[in-house]
Amino acid sequence: MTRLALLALIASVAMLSSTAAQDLAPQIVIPVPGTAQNVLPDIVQPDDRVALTAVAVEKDITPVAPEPPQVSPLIPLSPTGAPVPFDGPIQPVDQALSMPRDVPVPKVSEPVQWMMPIVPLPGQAVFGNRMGAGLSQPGILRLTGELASVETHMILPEGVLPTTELVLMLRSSVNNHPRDTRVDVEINGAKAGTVTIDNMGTFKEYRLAPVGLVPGDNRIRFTVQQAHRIFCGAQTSFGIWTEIDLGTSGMPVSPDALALTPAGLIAALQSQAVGGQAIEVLADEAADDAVIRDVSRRLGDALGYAPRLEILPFYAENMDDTARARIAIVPGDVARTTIRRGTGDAIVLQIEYNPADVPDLAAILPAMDAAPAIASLTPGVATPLSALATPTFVGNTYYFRKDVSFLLPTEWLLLASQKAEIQLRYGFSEDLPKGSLLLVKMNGITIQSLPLDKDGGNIRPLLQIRFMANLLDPGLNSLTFEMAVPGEPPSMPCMPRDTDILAVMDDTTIFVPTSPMMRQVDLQESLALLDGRNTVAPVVVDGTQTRALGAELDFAAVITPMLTSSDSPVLHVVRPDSAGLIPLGNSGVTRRALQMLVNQRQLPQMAALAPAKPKDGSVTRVAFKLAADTLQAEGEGEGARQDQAPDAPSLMSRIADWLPSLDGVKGGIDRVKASVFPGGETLQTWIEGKSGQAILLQLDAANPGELWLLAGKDISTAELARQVDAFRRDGSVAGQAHVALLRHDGRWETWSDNRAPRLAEPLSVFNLREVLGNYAAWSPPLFTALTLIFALLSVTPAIIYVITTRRKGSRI
Amino acid sequence: MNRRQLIIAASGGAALFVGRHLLAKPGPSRSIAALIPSDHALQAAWQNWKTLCLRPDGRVVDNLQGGASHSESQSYGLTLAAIFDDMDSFDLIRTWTEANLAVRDDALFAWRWQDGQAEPVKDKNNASDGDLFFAWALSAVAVHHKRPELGDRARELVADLVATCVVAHPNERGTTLFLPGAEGFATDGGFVINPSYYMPRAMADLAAFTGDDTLGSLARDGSAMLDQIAKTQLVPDWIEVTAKGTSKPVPRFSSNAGYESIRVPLFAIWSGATKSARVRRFAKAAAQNDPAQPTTVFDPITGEPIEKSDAAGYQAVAALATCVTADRADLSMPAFSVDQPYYPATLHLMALIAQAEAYPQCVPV
Repeated sequence: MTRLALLALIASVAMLSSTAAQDLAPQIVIPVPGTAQNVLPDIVQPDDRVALTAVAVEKDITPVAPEPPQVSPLIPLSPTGAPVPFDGPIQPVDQALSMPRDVPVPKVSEPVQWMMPIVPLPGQAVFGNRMGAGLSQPGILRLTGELASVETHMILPEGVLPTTELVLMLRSSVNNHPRDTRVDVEINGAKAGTVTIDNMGTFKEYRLAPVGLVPGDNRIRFTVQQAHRIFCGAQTSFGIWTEIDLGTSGMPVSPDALALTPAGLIAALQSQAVGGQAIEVLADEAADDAVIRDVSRRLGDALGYAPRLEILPFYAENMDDTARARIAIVPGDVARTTIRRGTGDAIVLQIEYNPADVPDLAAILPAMDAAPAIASLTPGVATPLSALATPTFVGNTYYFRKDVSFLLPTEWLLLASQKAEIQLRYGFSEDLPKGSLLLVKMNGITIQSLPLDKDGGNIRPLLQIRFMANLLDPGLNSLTFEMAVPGEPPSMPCMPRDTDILAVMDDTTIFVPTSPMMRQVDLQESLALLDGRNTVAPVVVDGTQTRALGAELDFAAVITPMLTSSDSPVLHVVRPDSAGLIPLGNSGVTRRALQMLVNQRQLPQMAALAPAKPKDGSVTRVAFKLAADTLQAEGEGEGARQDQAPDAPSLMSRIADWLPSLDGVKGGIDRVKASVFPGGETLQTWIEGKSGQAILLQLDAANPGELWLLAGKDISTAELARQVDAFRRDGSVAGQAHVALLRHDGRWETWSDNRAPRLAEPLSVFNLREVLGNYAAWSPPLFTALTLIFALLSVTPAIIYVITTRRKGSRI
Repeated sequence: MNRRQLIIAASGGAALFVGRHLLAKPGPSRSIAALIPSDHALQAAWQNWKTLCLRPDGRVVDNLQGGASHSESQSYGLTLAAIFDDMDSFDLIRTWTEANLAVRDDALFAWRWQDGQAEPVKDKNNASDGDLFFAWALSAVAVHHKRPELGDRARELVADLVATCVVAHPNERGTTLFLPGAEGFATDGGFVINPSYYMPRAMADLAAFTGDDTLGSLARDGSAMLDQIAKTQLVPDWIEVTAKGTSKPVPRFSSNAGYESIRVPLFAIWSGATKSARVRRFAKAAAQNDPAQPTTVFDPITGEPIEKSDAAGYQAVAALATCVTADRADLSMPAFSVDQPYYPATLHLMALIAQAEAYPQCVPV
């Protein structure tokens, strides 16, 4: 071995051994006395035990202790030669010194305060302008009527002391009497103060001492007493209201006062969302939908209402830097949750997950008390209102309405003339003006009208109210007490009454007869079973089907099952450009017609464009044809082609189509069809001339759990979800519904093909009468025809017998 | 064992040594070419950075310097274009730089081009960090897009960089130093060094690309030197290195931990050295920041703030450092903003790239 090779080998071995012990360089640490080793002693020292040179930056150069000779780590591999000692001249160096990197600007910022908001308790205020408490728009709580109250709550995180006043942003209707609009405030059951509202039309700030507020959950009740400044009576009750701006009312606190804890997070989320502002959810496109849906649902549970969510990609430059709370869903190696500060001081819940491991959010976003579930009523048993979560209630406004919702089994069905019964115990004031009236309604149909202008002053004897059981639906039903009391006189202002007008006792009972187990599935029942997490929003973009997660989240946040079942309906939400996905089955309706329905913004405009419709019905087809042609010319896509060949029409439709010129014959067939099969108006006919914001479809009778919602472009999915939720909770929707149109005025209009009831239990002598009654009520002509046929078949053997056994020549 | 076998064995050992070091931090890593996919959300930030800094002719403008351009801004722009796989911008920047700053007798670039001057390049001295980043971007794109001419140019730059800006440590223990420029940084018995000119990942990648480990060992030497400094204080903007040790340079060089040295922790994080003392020391100081007004100039000894800024880029670097060093992240990186000058905007984008590549838990929220 030559000397050169030996040296090289030694060097290599030395280097290998040194790297095994040290990460970067193989020299030895040489502590140097006098260096600034402990200037910042609390830093975590790195593992490196390497020092190339002693450090004495802040002091003069410190002598370095002599070091033992070492093997150089430098291997001269450079083709240009090994680094050489630099012997250049000392020259002025300007470049690095003359590079301004920033223009320091002292930032003067106003101290920011977040409002710990006032939030209605679940079920206390729903959307809509209604008597009592309601949300007139997102974040605006309206109290309507002479007397109205609402129970709210406010969360003050631990450590946040209510050192400032409670801020209330209030306004009243211009109809309100200016000096007689008072808001009484109770905090945690104790009276905290009264505000007399002197501003109409615009919001004004009022302040109250925070008497009784404590860290944690606080209950705050607002009771408004107000009067109309000109008129009096039931007609004027809707015109007087007071609103609370939830987004700007509450307890102001410094953002720093909110700790990075679950309580601080929820307080920040409330502060962000209660005024209707969206909560930003940061997630990349590959984020697990299930995680996002879970977050959506957890947020709804934790806040007591469904907040609006906005999905943003990471690195978005349009993040709201005034946001108070945000959610970030980050793929990671470890499943964990972190509460941290984000852009603009927002409190951010960062959720790290991987496909095998998703963190449990229950501890960070615990569910608050939910709204009371709708009570179930057992058929065959007289059920008091108290068992339907309705205690004795009192009406003391000129207009008053109370809805009592209850659920019947999904397999309950009575379509014939059976009677249900209400045993009403009620009372009313003795001095009510003439014309005072109480209406008792079942599912929107008045079943009893009770005058309140005589024999008042006490609790009335038990009143039996019998009504048709076929007004009841399987699933959700609504019993309504609606009272109207005229003013005395109506043309003069009057003060709110200080005595009760109406009382309905909680021992009032409802009796619903039993029924055989039969089903007649319709939209209402399927929607009652719907879990918003089973919403899919397919979108076709450039021929590729994807999903609109944001739309799905909106439904997941709002729609929770009202009934439990092993069946799990699926709601498909599509926009007009993806209407081609809707399976139309035998409905006979075209996709183009459905697209037209939701694309029209205002019916009058479309009506003006369409040719006048003569009384002669024969032109109807021409008018539709013209409209269809126009649209087809506008968009030549797949949808247009599909319209030319609508999905398999029914046999009756085919027969009718074969006879297009024989309108009289066709009309006759339609009439027979309509009389034999109730609800015979075709869907195509029903939608002609209509327009709306969205249409809900349950077209496949064999798969009633497949629901499709086609929405126009002008309605947000959040609003859609809210409207669908309102529709399914609306007990006044009478009869079956298989298609529901959300009109531009926000009301739902329904259509049904009156599907036949199906027996879900064996036919027996015990249920035969009710079963036959249901079928007879469903289609009397068909039932009569079948009965006649059956009778004929029954007598045929006898006739045959008589004929065959008659002796020749016998006259009998 | 004959002579040839011994040489091969020695070479093998050396290669293994190099390999081990390259695998250690800092070391060769995933190529930066097309590091950020075309559908990545950060692409929007790149487009905004171009709007802020890049002229249509390929000049990257630093408005705080009277609209001047310099090899640093050009090379940072070139590197970002490579990372975002924006080849149009890449070629524009490269072409302008070659045409206007390649005026020296060697392969390196003059450090500054001044707009509106009869003689835009008055000083032909180079800035070694600009040359380093330029070569890094060229080498990455050369491999990714199979453009060998770019690789040749990168090798020329590396060769001349090594020849002119890599010098032996005055203590003669065999380690090396990285001069900020070919001329003007020698002192009486030592050198003035800018610690932020060390970009360990770029150096390691170029060492792997060229097969010359000079830059690799330079990265390791520099990292060790800076970590040693960071054991006791923040790494300052400039240091003087002599045979006796390191010290404050002459007063005209900033000895605060400021706008220059903020790149030290950024480049260390980008190179994967998250546990290094230079990152931890900076993170500890940055954790005291008011997020709305991060400190840009620290007293290196006490860590007390001397100067603050509301530019989001400085907050991004501080937040990234505090995030990668802490088990829990308390500060958040801000989203990219064009409401800041060239330099913090560029640091901001670099910090976001480093985060997106390796630290998902630190994403701006």
